[in-house]
Amino acid sequence: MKKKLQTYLWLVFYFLMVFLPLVLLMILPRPAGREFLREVSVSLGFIAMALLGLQTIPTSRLRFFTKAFPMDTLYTFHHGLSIFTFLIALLHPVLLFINNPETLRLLNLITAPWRARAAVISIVAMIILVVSSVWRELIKLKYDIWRWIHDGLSFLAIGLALYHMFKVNYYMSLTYQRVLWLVLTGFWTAIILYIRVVRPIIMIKKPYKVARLEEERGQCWSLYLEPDGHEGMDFEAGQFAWITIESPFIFRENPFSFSTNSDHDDCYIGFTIKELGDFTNEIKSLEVGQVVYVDGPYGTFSMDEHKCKDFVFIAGGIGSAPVMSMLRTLADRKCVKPITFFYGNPTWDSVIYREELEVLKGKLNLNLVHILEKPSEEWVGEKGYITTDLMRRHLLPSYKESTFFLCGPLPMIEAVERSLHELEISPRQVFSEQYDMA
Amino acid sequence: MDIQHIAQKGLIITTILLSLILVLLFAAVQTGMI
Repeated sequence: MKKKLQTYLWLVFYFLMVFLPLVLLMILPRPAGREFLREVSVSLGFIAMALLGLQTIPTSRLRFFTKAFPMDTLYTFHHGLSIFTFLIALLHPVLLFINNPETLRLLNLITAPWRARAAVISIVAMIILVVSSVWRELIKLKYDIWRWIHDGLSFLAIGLALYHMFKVNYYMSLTYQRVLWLVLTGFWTAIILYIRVVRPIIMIKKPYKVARLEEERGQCWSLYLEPDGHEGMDFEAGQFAWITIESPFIFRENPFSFSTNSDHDDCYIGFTIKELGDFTNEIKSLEVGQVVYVDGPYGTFSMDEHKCKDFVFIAGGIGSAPVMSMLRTLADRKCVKPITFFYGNPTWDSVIYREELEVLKGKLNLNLVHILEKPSEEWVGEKGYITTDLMRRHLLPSYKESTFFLCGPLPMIEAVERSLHELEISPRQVFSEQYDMA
Repeated sequence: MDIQHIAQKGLIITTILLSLILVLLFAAVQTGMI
């Protein structure tokens, strides 16, 4: 109930942040109206500005926000809303040009007034921002470099758009509008300061040290960390944290799911990381005792967040890391509830935790179903992908009451969710997390 | 699709629709159409 209330409060807060300036303009005294297209353009500009500033929140990792919403949905929300924000920001000048073609002269940066120059540069920054974000992999832009570009251009776009809005000074000549936008700007600045200054300081004050590093199958490494001079962190099995081996001020960090038991008595935390390029390739070079900074825990992909009659875990490859954390935790709790684990991998040799899963079968009421994409000729188990028929063969007769946890790449999650829909599983019983969200 | 992802898509669609409605409403009010 508390979580539901928190979610509803956030929704109210969100809509107020986006629409309050425009709604107040409609109900309070305001300057005289002008042509229809011009007013449409101006109000689009107001909403674009509010949405642009609001984009600082979804990826801010503010604890009371990430507790209410899953992190990967926050990132998807940020992506989707950013595209919409960009489109209406672009439509704002286009409508002005259609309404009065003479205003096209404002595109000339040499002769245009500063308020127009600021708007043009802000739009150009947004174009580069969208192109570099949507096609980052296509233009082979490294994640950490892209993040610096993304943040720099975001600040530039927001700052210049605000300058433009205050300088145009038509509706902004109203005191309540000026105060409202200054309050909103203050709020966005506080969030940026939290992300850029406060959180890195917190991470530096609570460093971790590499306790041990173990090679796993499938080019994976299990990294175990111990807190250095503090009590460590409590997490829920299934959650994740952001890890960096450099200064937290450099923002070269990546998210990884905890793979260890969350009910641990010691302070160690562990992650299993697959070599996929960039930062992940450096994991194997870490040395025992080396300092690592951890920001977490985050995520609502947790069995402790939901009432589960029995569990169905579905994972592909390294998506098994959070599932392993849940299985280890359930074994520690001596859980007797039925558990079905559909575990997809390319080959038998790439199955991470293979031996430990066999041990866990003795400790838990676990039905482990391996699915191999490219099995050897001797393989007698399931082959191919996790399909509707395959799941139907192994699920409990009462599977419609089971709780499903999915973790893997987006195509796998989408395919399995389609199968679950065919199996008439309610979306309320399905929880998923993409591991390539960032 | 799970309920959280459905809700997230729903929120984006609601934002888009509300934006368009409010923008048109504002322009209509300002130009005396309403």
